[in-house]
Order: sequence, then structure tokens, then C-alpha cells
Amino acid sequence: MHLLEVTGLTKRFGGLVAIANLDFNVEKGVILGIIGPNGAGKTTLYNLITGFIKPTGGKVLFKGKDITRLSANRRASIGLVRNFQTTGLFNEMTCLESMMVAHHLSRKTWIPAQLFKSAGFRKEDRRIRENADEILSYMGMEGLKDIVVKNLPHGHLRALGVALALAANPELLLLDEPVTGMNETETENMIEKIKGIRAERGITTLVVEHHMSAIMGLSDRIMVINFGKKIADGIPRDVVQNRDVIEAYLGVQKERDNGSVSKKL
Amino acid sequence: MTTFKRVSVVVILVIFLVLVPLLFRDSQYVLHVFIMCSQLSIVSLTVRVVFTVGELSFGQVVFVMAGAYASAILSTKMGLPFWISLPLSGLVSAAFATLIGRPILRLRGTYFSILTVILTEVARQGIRSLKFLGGPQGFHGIPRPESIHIGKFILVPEFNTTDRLPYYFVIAFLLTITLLVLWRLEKSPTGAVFRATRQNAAVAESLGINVTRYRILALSISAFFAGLVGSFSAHYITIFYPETFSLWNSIDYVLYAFIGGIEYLWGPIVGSFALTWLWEYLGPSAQYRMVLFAVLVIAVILFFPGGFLSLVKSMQSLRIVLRKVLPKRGD
Amino acid sequence: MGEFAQIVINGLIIGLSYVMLSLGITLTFSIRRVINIAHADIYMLGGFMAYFGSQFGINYFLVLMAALVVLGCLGAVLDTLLFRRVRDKGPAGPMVLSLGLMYLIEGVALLAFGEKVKGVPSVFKGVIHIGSISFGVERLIVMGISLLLITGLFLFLGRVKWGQAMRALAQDPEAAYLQGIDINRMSMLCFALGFSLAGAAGVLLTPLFYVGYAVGSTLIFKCFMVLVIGGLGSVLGCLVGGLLLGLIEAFVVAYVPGQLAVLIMFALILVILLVRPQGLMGRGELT
Repeated sequence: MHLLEVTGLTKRFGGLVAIANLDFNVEKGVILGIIGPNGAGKTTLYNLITGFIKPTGGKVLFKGKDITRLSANRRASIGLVRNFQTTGLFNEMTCLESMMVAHHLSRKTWIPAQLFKSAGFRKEDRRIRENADEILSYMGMEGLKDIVVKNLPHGHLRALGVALALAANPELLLLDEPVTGMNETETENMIEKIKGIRAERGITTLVVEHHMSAIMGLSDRIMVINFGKKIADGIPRDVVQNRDVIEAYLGVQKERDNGSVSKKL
Repeated sequence: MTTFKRVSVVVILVIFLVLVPLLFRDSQYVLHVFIMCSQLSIVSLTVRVVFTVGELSFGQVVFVMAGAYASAILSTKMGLPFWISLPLSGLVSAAFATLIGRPILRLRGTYFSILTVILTEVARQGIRSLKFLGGPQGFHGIPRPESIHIGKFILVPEFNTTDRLPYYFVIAFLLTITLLVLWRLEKSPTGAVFRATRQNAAVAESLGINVTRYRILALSISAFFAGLVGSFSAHYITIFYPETFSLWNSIDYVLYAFIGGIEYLWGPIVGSFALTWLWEYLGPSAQYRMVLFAVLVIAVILFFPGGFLSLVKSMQSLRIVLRKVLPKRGD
Repeated sequence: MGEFAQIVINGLIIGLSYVMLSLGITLTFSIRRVINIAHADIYMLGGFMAYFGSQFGINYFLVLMAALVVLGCLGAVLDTLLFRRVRDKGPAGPMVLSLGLMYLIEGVALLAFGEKVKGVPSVFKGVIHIGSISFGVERLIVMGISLLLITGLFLFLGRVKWGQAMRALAQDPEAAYLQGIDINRMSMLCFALGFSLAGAAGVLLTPLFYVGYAVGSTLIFKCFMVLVIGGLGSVLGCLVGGLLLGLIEAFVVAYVPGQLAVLIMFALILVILLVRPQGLMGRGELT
């Protein structure tokens, strides 16, 4: 049984087909890279898998169960977690506070216990705090836990995004452009972290990225998407030599060379 | 919590629970104004609770109304003592909020706020037409809170028409409880989830938080306390009708919270107390009240949107900065 | 049959008044995302202009022009001085601001004009009968002018460059900015238009009813109801919503006794709110 099975996934926005009849599987323990030109539909795909938009057709199966109709937060609660590319985080909170919130799924206590600070609550809270500290350390953010999120530099902000997702205890982690906007060192660090996430925590990971060498270094398999369709799926070496893939990327190059700005959505 | 804060909270509590009753026990007028302030404060605090999840509710008066009607029915038609119908009314109001929460919270931001405005009128008109809820005449003859005594030992004295002091203690107690609960709530993980919902609902959702459910929860909590005020009010004035719960009150709750500083826990309280006393002070020249209120609201929203307490905070920061910048004595 | 037709006509006439009343607030909301709760108070100012106009014997159409111009300028001024400062800081700011404005205008009106409501005598008298249906002449003229203004607005939004710019702004402020549209100027224009329409509604409709300092607070509800039915943020929705509200009201009032009628109206609003909160044509932020 695959951890994630996507069959016939389609998404139409009015007359526009963003995702067209997409099929793919993800086995447990794999790092799957997802690449494609801008506007190919990668973010839409993520939104569909994680439940932020509903598909026009097709199915998503997670751990063998049909989750197509499941809400986004329910998907997170069964182990399907994502980070976000652009929308920022909890800007007015400190890193630690954000991490505590991110542990929401680990909390069993309700309001009465929280208000009266019962023994059970205190124990749980301590455990969560320790876990939060551990994850922040792992992502290289030990000293930053009391920094307010909106003051974080870009690299750390992205790292926090990943940290938050980890706090939600995922089995399948969807990373959306984790190294975009980072410098060399930050990128290398992040790549190591992502590898570690799979190695040490056994978390299956999907990575959408534009940074080619990052993807090549990380992925066991790569899936290429263009115009909402899968045009290649295989080991990195094969995918890079795939003619359709080259054309998809070169096609963009060609149009740029012709002087016309190809405005992909 | 810093020592300064701890001390000032204790001081305020002492003033309200000890000094005021001591000094003003014979001034029915002063007691009455304080009772009004306290009621307003609690409902303004409930506006703040909803604001924590990012929504501005102009309809809190509906929950006050629910509490008042529930309490009136429980005591007049079912003979329950006030002390039982008080918490029950809070629960009824909260249950009502949970019921309507899901459909009305499908809208956000401005749309939601407008919805709450309309809801107030709809509720009022609806109640007017229901005979078993008293119709346009509302309720009268609502019994005063009963005294509680164990043998000869009086726990709670008689409530009568002439002395407001017992009422004062009840509402002061309710305000203290509300403040305490909301303070703990804010510091709790649930409070953090509320704030997360407001700051970035999408990320919250992706971390497993059922954002809709928490919004409804915030609404229900706000309704509970508003319902308590409604119940108290019913047994304090002993008469009410649908028009008692007007939209203008509801708007005031929001504006008082803003003027005091809606981001701060004490903001709504400061706003309610300050403005109520201001209106009392104006007394005879009441027709200037609207303009004065308007100027205050506009000035606050334009120049210090954080309200009066944000002004206090900036003065505190200013003091800290000045202390660092100015040369010390002896240099 | 005649009675039915009369009810329909009455409904349409009332409905058109509602449209006229609500056009301004719909405009500011759809283009600037600002709910101007003080909108109906601008109506009130227009109403008082009509009152004083009739007191001093000034020509009806002159008063109408004056209202359009003066209140339009007021709108532009208030946008520049007040609303611009709370732009882009979240929905709470403009709403609270417009509440403050509402109290300000009503408070000043109370001080200046006193508590009592005032009636404005009709300028046009007489009744026309077509078959079994009767129309008041004054009402007809008011409707005629309203239709003219409404058509003018639609033409402006559809054909005139600035109107199209405003629509672009409504759809996508960032894109509009990138296309070189001056947001400040368009915003001022939007408020100016909204205010003038409100003021014009005041001049037109007040003689049919009455005016007083608190008239704004009662009428703003009708505006909200139009917005809810027709759709928040859609000018066409305002047209549809207003007419529909008028028709529904006319029928309900005709066939259902007193208090029950009011209840039915509100029950209807409640149902719409719960079932389709964004109204018939609105683009409410549903999740």
C-alpha cells in the first residue's frame, strides 16, 4: 500500500484546467521532488492534496483511506502536513510560542484543565516545550526562541516554517519551496535537515522546488509537472535526460529568447 | 507578571471590592453608576474575546438578551432561584452562540460585522413577535435575587428595592471572575490558538487546528459572559422589553473597547468606566454627548488605534527611554 | 388583477427608493471595501438641504444639484482627511471610523436642527391614473430622476474611463495600481460619488417621508438589507436587491397583518443570511 495515492486528480477554475488527470503514488520513506516551470500547477497540487481546495475530479488516498472529502485540519491530524511558500507565519508571536501552537495536535487537555493548570496539563505542557526546543535546535534556531517571528531573517523564517510542520507530527510532509530565497550556506543546511528528517524521523517528504541542484541532491524520485499534467516520473538521472522535460524547460527559455514575455499563470 | 502589574491589580481590586462600597454605601447614585460600568465592562470584554479570533462583533447585545430572557423565564415560569438561573442563563446564551455560530461565521471581516448588526435587529424583531417570550411588553416582575442563609447565619442578605449595595457586590464579583477567566484563557494554549487563528488561519489549519471550531468557541465564551450580564440585569431592573436590548448599546460595547484599547485585557474596562463616568459628568449637557463621543472615537482610531492603554504604554516606554538617555545625577 | 398590479407598482417604486438609498454605500464598499455606516446620515444631510431649500423657496432642481455637488465634495474631503489614514490597516479601522462619523454628523445635526423631525412639503402635486393603477406625480418624478441618476452611474462605470478605473480598482487593487491607476484619486472620486448619491437620495426621498437627526440610524438598516439580499459589493446586486426588497415588502405588507409582516421580513433576511450569506450576486468572503 502506498502512503499517498493520487488518481485522476483534476482541478478546474472556471474554464482553466489547473490540474489535469494526475496520477501518482508515494511510498513510505521516499523523498519525492516535484518540479515544473512556473505556473505548472505545483502549488495547486499541494493545495489539493492537503485539502485547502477541493478537486473537480479524482481521488486522494492517504494510508489507504480516501481523504478527498476530508478537511485540511483533519488531514493534518492523520499525519499529512505542509508548509507554506508565501503566506508568512504567526507574525506577532515568538518562535517558541508559534511552536507551542504548532503542537496543537499533541494536546489532549481541554480548557478546564488549561485554565486551572492541572497536573496533567503541566506535564503535557512541559513535554511539548521540550519537544519544541528539540525541533528548534534541530533546525538550527536554538537562540532564537524568544524572537518575534516578524523580526526573523528570511532564512530562519523558512526554517521555522519547516519546524512548525514538524511539530505537527507528520507522516507525510509536503515542503513548498523550502530553499527559495536562501543563500548557499542556508540552502546546504536546509538540504541536510530535510535529509535528516527522513533519516532520523522516518518522515516521507515531498519537495516542490525550483533550485535544481537541491532537488537533484535530495530526491529519490522526481516528478515533473507542466500545465497540470505529469510529464515525467522517475529517478533524477533519467528525468533530467527526458526529452519532454527538457523541452518544457527549454520551451520557456526559447520564448524568453524570442523577446516575448511568456506570462505563465 | 511584573511586580508593578501585580501590585496595581491588587490595588484596583481592593478599591473596587472594599473602598468603593465602604465610601459610597449610602450613595445609591454612585453605586448605580458603578454597577452600570461593571456590566458594560463585562460585555465589552466579550467583544474583545471575539476580536481575539479576528472578528469584530457588533451583536453581543443579542447574547445579553438571550441571558436576560433565559433568566426571566427560568425564574418567573419555573421558579428557579437567581443563583441557579444566573449560570444557567450563561450556558443558554453560550448554547445559542454555538448554534448560530457555524452559519454566521462562514462570513469574515466586514461581512461578518455587518451580519452581526443585522442579527441584532432580527433577534429583537423576532423576540417581539413571540408571545411566550413576552412579546412587545417583555417581562416584568422578575424576582430579585434571594437571600441565602444557613440557619441564622446570613450568607447573602436580602435584595430589596432601596439598597443597591448587594447588587454592587454581585456584579463586582462577576466582573472579577470574568477578568480572571479571560486572563487565564489568554495565557492558555487555547488563547494561543485563538491568536494564531487571527494571525494566520491557513497555517493554523495546516497544523491541525479546526479554525472554524475555535472561532465558534470564542463566540460561545463571549456569549456566556454576556449572558451572565443579561441575567444579572434582568434581576436588577426587574423589567425589560425587546427594546431594552438595542443595537446602539451593542455598538457602544465595541466602541468602548476600542477607546480603552481592544488589544489589552484591561482596555474594555478602562474604556467603559472612563466613558460612563464622562457621560455622568456631562449630565445636564447631554446633547453634546454624541459629538463628544464621535470626536473621541475618531481621534482614537486615527491617532492612537491602540486605545487609551496604548497611550499609557507609550508613555511608559518614553519614560524608560528618557531614563536611559538623560544623564544621571552625579555625572 | 388591478390590485396585484398596484402592489407590484408600489413595490417597484419603493424598491427604486431603496436602490437610490443604497447605491452610495454599495459603491464605497465594492470599490474601497469600506462600509460607510455614516452613509444614511449623508442622506439626512441631503434631506435637510431639501428642507431648508423649501423653507427659503429655492428651486427644487437647484437644491438637488447643490446636494450632489456639496455632499460630493464632502465625500472627497472626508476620504482624504480621514479614511485614507486607516486604509490597509484591516477592516476594523474604517468601520469604527465611519461609526464615529455617524455619531458626529448626527450629533451636530441634533445640535443644529433640534430633536423634532421635519417634513418637507411636496413640490409636485397631483395623482395620475392609468387604468386602475394610480401614481403620485411627485413619486413619479422622484422615480424618474432616480432612474436617470442610476443609469448615469451605470454608464459612468461602464463607459467612462474613470468609472472603468474604479471598477478595475474594485476587482484587483494591486493590478489596478500596476496599471497606473491613481488610487488616491479614484478613492476620492468613489467617496464623492457615494456621498452625492446619498445626498441626492436625501433630497429626492425626504419630501415623500420626513427628516430628522436620527433618520440615518433607522435607514441604514434598509441599506444593509438591500446589501444582504442583493449581495455585498455588487452594484448590480444593489439594483436587484433594492427592487426585490421593495417588491417583497409590498406583498408582505399587503397580505399579512401588522407585526407578522415585520417578522416575516426579518425571517426572510435571516434565511438569506444563513443559506446564502453573500447575497444573490455578492462576492462575500466565504471559506
